[in-house]
Amino acid sequence: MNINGSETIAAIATPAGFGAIGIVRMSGPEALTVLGKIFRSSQKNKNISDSGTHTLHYGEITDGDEVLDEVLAGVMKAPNSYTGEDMIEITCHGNAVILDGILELCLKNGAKAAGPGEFTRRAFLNGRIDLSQAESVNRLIHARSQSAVRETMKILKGNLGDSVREIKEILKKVQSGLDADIEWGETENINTIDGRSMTALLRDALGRAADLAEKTSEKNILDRGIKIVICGKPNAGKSSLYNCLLNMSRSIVNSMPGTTRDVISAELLLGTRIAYLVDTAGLGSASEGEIEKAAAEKSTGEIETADTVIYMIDPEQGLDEKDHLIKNLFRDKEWLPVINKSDLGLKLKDGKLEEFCGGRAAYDISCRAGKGIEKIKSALETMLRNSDSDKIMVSHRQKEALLSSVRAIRAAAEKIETGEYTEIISFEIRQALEEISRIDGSSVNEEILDMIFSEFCIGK
Amino acid sequence: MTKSYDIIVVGGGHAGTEAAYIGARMGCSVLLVTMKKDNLGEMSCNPAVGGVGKGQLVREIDAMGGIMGLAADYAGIHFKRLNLSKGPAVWSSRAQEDRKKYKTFIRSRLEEAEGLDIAEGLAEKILVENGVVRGILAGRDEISSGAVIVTPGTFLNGMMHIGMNHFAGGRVDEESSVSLSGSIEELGFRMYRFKTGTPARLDGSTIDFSRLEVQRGDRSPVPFSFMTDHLIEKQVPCYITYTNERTHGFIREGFGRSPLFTGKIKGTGVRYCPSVEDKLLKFPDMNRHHVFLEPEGLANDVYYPNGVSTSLPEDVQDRFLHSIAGLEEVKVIRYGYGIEHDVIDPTQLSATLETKKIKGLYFAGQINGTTGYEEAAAQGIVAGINAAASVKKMPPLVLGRDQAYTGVLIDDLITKGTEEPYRMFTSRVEYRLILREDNACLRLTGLAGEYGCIDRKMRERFEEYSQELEKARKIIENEKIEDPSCAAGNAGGKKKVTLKELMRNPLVKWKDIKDLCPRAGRISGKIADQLNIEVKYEGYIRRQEMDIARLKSMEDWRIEPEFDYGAIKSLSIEVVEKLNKIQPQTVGQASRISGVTPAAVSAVMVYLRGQGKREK
Repeated sequence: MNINGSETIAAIATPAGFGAIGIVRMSGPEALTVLGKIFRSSQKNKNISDSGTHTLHYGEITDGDEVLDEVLAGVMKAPNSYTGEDMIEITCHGNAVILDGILELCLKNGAKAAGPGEFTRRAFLNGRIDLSQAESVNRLIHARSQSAVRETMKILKGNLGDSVREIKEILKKVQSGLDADIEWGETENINTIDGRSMTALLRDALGRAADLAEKTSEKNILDRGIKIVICGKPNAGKSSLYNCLLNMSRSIVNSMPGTTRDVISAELLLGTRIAYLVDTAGLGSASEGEIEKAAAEKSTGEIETADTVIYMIDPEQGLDEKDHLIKNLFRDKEWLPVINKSDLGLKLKDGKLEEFCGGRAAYDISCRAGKGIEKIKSALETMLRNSDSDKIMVSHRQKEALLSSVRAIRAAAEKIETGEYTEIISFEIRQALEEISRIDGSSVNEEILDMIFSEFCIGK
Repeated sequence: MTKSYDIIVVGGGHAGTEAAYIGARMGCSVLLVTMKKDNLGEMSCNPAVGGVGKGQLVREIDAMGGIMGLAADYAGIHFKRLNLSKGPAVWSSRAQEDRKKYKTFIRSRLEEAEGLDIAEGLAEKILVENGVVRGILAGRDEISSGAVIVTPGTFLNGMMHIGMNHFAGGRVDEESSVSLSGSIEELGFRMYRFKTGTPARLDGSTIDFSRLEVQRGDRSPVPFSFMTDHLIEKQVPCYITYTNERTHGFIREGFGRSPLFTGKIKGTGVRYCPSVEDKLLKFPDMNRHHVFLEPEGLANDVYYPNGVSTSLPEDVQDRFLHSIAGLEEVKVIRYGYGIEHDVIDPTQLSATLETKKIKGLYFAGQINGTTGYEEAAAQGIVAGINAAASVKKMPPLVLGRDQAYTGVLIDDLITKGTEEPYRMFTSRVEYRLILREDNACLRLTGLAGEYGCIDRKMRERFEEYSQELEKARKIIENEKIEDPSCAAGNAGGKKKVTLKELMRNPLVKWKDIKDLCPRAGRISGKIADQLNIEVKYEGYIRRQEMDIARLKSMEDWRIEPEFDYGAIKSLSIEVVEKLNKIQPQTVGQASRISGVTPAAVSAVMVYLRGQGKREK
């Protein structure tokens, strides 16, 4: 692969399989020339190489005399294209044979096959997008649901970048005040920043950064879906609910307690969002075999990493200490109490259920009759909407940088309080600035690049 | 017959004297060409050395075997450390100097130096053959040398202004160097013009000090030089007075005859040391500006009014000075003036201060766009060491931004250039907590020693100091005493802690530790001060060292000279132009060029890496 991007690259841009249309993309200085060799315009005497930027052309892709397909060719010229180079998008019929044929023609006429992520990498290297945007493109491509797409678009348009810039401005103001005091405080008659306004500015920056950290999520809730874990004591009907929600018999359902010994998961579509639904082995089993122990450990792990928990209450066994112990695992999370087997009648004493649920309404369902399932689905949907509506997706790297800068700003604020030397406060703020600059890539070092480019398969 | 030297230094100011002195120290034959021997090491502006950011430079020059620190200690009449409340890394030394004593010291050191000749004359032309320097032309004499260091300061095509009068000159009553400027331009260097200025000099016997604020020197003054043991016994005070609305009125009345505002002066002025005219224009709401009256020496009764630098006509200068408290009756000895001079674009230099274009030709000091004695001297010593190193076939001395203020100064100049006179600041230094005055010798003396810059006496003293410090470090790490801060009466008695742990406690003073531990009592005060900073700042220093390590791969990643960035197709034309112009020596330097975006730097890295891969 040529590293400097002087070569023209081509790739099929639409996923494999059949579709109404498919797209072959090219980027690079020769893109128009290559197109000129393989494209015959419907308007006679029209030379595609002379067309203006952002124009669409109707015609045929031909290999000698053979016509491969009739297509629309889009021309976008440097620097105003996605990659910043000359770009061509050939929209043809969505058939793998046609797509492969067109790509092969492009390659035969001077283009090189693009490496993974190479279009985006070129966009980044040509300064069309910053690092946070480059990372987001990767996400957009892999996004699994509409909300994920929406959230990723937010970053692409620079929402995250704006917040970062605002925080940086405040920090710069404080630091320039501190440094002015160091440089001239004793020799010039100047008014540098006073402690009180510095503290106020830092509090503002800290508030914004902490708020941003709160709003950003690196748990990939949106790409991979939120994680919903069903748990409870053995034989409480967890797998029955799991299957009901998924409308299929994926878990083995058996009335012998402890049938589900492993963790089972599947994707669940809730409105526009994707969720991961996880079924776990029952906890608090009487038997203490190795297998049960291992299964219980796994279940516990799943509960700890869950975003939302559905707790199945077994009306026959009633609520006991074990239920309370299990509840301790997820007491700080969003959770829904659900009671199955309502057809068998309740054995729960008055008041005990309310106390256990802590003000939540318990959902009565019957898996066998398919009753109450829709209610749970809509409750989960609402929960999801509320939990992630203003989340901004960031990468692990960005989240780390954000948290480090929050720590540094906090350290600076504390050090003003304790009367630390000016140079130390200034040092902390400089650190905060550097950390936060890592988010939008306005400070760059090899380490960051390696981290990002490894995702884009550079130089391989 | 033409004379021949290893090194020729043109100019005897702060840059030139350091360059010549260190070149001779390193064993080269050196010729220093100056217009007037009497004015070697002259302080053209205020009679002070050091200050915030500048004190650090003086310590570094001293640590590398230079003379500025020694001269400032010898001629110092008032010593003050600034920023004592702001932290040890920004503690900065400043001293008022006896101007005459200072230059006498410099001259005698140069005259005593072995291998160093001083010639009076005007260097008119730099002689170059096939891109290599071969000497200079001074008058009718051709003097040959493979290394020429040019340090003309304000003399380079200098033009002085007082009111609407202007005349060629480098300083009062001294001619300017016009033909040299032409010669440099002929060699194809990009040049532009800067402006600086100086205030009037006042007769001390006509100042009424009784009504002025007094600023005294420090009770226990600290010298600049590692080698200085004694400073002046009786220090001389400075005085502070203020301009007022009346002063400002007189100054404004003179605006119509100001060369600054009537377009006569076109050069870019020093933002950080503006003329009083500029101050009034930029801060119209300030109803007073402070004026610092600095004594010029013990033998003469002359004062330098720092803060009222001006190029206004003489009558206006008289009028506004007389409106200032304490100066009502003042007699002006010499009027203030503005001066414009030529500078070269310093991005034409490499980190050794050698020009990229002509081998063996070095520029140092104000010609590179800086302001200040200390900035000039720091460049002078680096140019001198590198010229001598090249004569002796030694590797070049390039100081990193993590090594010295001097390194930051030079890297800034050669990487970013400067659009206004460049002054050193502590905030230009990323690794401020590591580059302190107190550890200048620890950072640089060993390195300078390898180049032969350090004389025997200093080398021995430095080795002794390093050993003593090492011993003391062991003592505080190993010696344990009962923790005095922990309450007595516990079952196992008081907890034992190392001295180092105890030193971390901000409430514990070194004196207390000395009282409690006899072995600590053997550690000298200077060493103890050093340890205190090291221990209290350990965590921060480690963090900065981690940052340095993280960027090291970029700083060490060398780019071949005359690399054509046009080969990297993904770079914009503007970025290619900038990179081709500056020709950064490392990827780290490339990343600091203004206008070169992080994305562009990554493109360069990706390209270079790919190139390396293909070569493998």
